[in-house]
This record gives sequence, C-alpha cells and structure tokens, in this order.
Amino acid sequence: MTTEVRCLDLKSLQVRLKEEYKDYYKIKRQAHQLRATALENLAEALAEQGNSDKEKMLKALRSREQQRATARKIKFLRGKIRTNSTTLVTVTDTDGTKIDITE
Amino acid sequence: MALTSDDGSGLVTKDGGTNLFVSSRPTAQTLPQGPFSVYAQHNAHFNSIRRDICPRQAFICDLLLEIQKFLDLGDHLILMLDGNSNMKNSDLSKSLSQLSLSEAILGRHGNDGPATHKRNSTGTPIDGIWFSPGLEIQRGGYLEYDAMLQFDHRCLWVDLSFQNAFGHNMAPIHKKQARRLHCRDPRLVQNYIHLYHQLAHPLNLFQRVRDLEQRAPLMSKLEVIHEYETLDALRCEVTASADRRCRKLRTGQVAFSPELNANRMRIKVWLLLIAKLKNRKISSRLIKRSLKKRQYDNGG
Repeated sequence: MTTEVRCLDLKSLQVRLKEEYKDYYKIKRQAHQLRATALENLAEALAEQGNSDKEKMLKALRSREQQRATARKIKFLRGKIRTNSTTLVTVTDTDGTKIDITE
Repeated sequence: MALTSDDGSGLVTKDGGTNLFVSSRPTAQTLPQGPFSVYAQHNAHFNSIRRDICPRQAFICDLLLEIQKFLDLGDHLILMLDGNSNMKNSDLSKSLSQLSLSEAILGRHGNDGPATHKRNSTGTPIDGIWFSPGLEIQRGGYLEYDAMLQFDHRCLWVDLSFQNAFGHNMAPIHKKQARRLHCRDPRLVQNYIHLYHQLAHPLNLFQRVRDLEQRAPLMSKLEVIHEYETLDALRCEVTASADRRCRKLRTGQVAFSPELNANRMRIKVWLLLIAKLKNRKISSRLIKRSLKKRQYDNGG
C-alpha cells in the first residue's frame, strides 16, 4: 500500500470515490468514441506485430464488433440476454403456501 | 425567362426544400400565321436583339436552363404546361424527359389520353402537368371541355398527397420506461419499503398523518382538505423517490475501452479501502493487487 493511501481517513476516501465516480460517468458517456479509438490503437499494434496492414486489421476488428452487436440483438430477441445464476427460488410448502427463497 | 420561388409559386417543405409550381406556354409549333401572331411578335423581338433563334426553341432552352437550376438546388418542380405540342412525343416533351421530368397524367393512365384542345382532331394532348422525380400523383385526369371555365382547352387536374408534396416528420418515438418496482421479487419490495421509511422519516410524515387523524374532527372541512393535500403531495414525492432508487437497472451496453476500465479499477480500489476502514473482511493482498493495477493504469 502506498503511504499516501495509508494516510487517508474514511472521509477523504469517500471524497476520492465521489470524484472517481464523477469521472466515470463523464467517460461513460463517451464509451463508444473511446471504443473506436481503442480499436484503432489495437489495429495499429496488431498490424505492427503481424506485419500486416492497419486498414485490414481495423476492418476485421470492426466487422467482428458488428457481428457481436448483431448476435447480441438476436440473443435479446430469443430472450437469452440474461442467463445469470439463480438468485430466487420459489418453493411450495407442505400446506401449499409458496415461499420465495433469496438467500 | 426566369423562374422564381419568391413570387408565391413556391411552397416550403418540411425538410426545408421547396415545391415550385410553374405554369408556362410556348408559342405554337405550327408555322406562324400572319404578322400579328404571337410567334411573329416573338420573332420580331429576337430580331431586334439580334438573336437568331426560333422563338419556340428559345423558350425551350430558357425553360430547361431554369428548371435545371431548381433541380440542382434539390427543389421539387410541378410544371403546368400548355405545350402547344404533343406531350407524348415532341421536342418539348423529349427535352423535359431528359431532365427526368415526367408527365403525371400520361404516366398514370397511359398514352391513350384524349386531345386537350377543341380544334385538335388528331387526339393528341398538348397540355400536361410535369413532375420532377420524387413527386407522385394519387389521382389525375382531364375534365370535359368547359367544365370549369369557358375555354378551348380541357382542364387538367392532379391529386397529390400532402406527405408526398411537403414531406413527413415522424412523431418522436417514446421509449417505454422500465418499471423499477414490481412484486415478483421480495428483496425489491423490502428495499422499496426500507427506502420509503428512510425518506419519510425526516419529513415526519407518519406522525403528521396520525396527528391529522386525531385532529380531523376538530378541524374545518377546508383545513382538513388543505392538510390532506399537503401530506398527499409529500407522500407522492417520497413514493416516487423510493421507486426511482429501489432498483438499479443494469442494462449494460457500455463499450469496453482501456480508459473506462482504468476508471473502474480506481473505483474498485477506493471501495475496497473504504470497506477495509469499516472493518469488513477484505483481503489485504486483493487491495495490494488492485492498488498495483491502479498505479499501472495511472502510469505510475
């Protein structure tokens, strides 16, 4: 742990957290532009690594992005967008009453 | 000749374009008869300005030039024309067709239309309504002679839909707001009740309701109504606030990027540290690792 962080009390930490959240929401609004920039950088890096053309790499990455977006839409239409773990189970008691178990 | 949209013949469409209505009549195609015919007058004018051109050809050239200007601006054009020539196949109709204009009535009903002039015995329509591309008539045709005016021409009519002529602005689509509160999940209900009590407590809402209940028999009807309305407004505010906060809609759809991820990591570190200070069970190694990642993201 850095010394700076060790010296912080609860109030200062909460102030830092609040500032960080402010920044997060600001960045979140530009998520799509940032994604595009990140893809361009990635394409450049991949092109350098694989002795390939940046344009080709970028095209391939964008095509993959498009496919992912389409697949996600299809998943949504099929009702398969959320397949998280079970958090709620409803059981029927011996006397017929239904109980929701959440823990 | 100059066509203008400032003389009241132009109508602005919803997308900012213009529908321009132009009526026009060239000189007759047949040979001039007599020194006082329109053709002779126009010819004399061109001679006086030393322009050696047939008046009819001059008309067509000027008309095409002006039409082209408006088409280049992206305007729609409706040209109502007493062409004095066959609207199916003549120099004028060919020239207009070259500019992608089409005769609306013949285009809809075919070329078997009647003559549009009383003295015409060949059955050729010499009047027409020409539309620029993008405009389409719903109905149209020729009326009988003298049906509208005592005149030697038939009256031509077309019916154009308002949307086709002036465009259409779609009504904004209202997104359906997701209901945060529902009774299918007991945790959600508990959360809502907890928030409701939390928000109502500082306003002393429950106590005020009890007070009103006790004092109501001693108060006038107007006072009761006034107090009740005040409490009801407060209750609505609290209810709405609790409803808004009872469930976070995790809709995702936030595209990943290194910048965003770095920010998330920093938030995670602060949350872990706060939890540690609150004496919750947090692994020190996890904090160390997260701090290291945060420093790495910051370039430190």
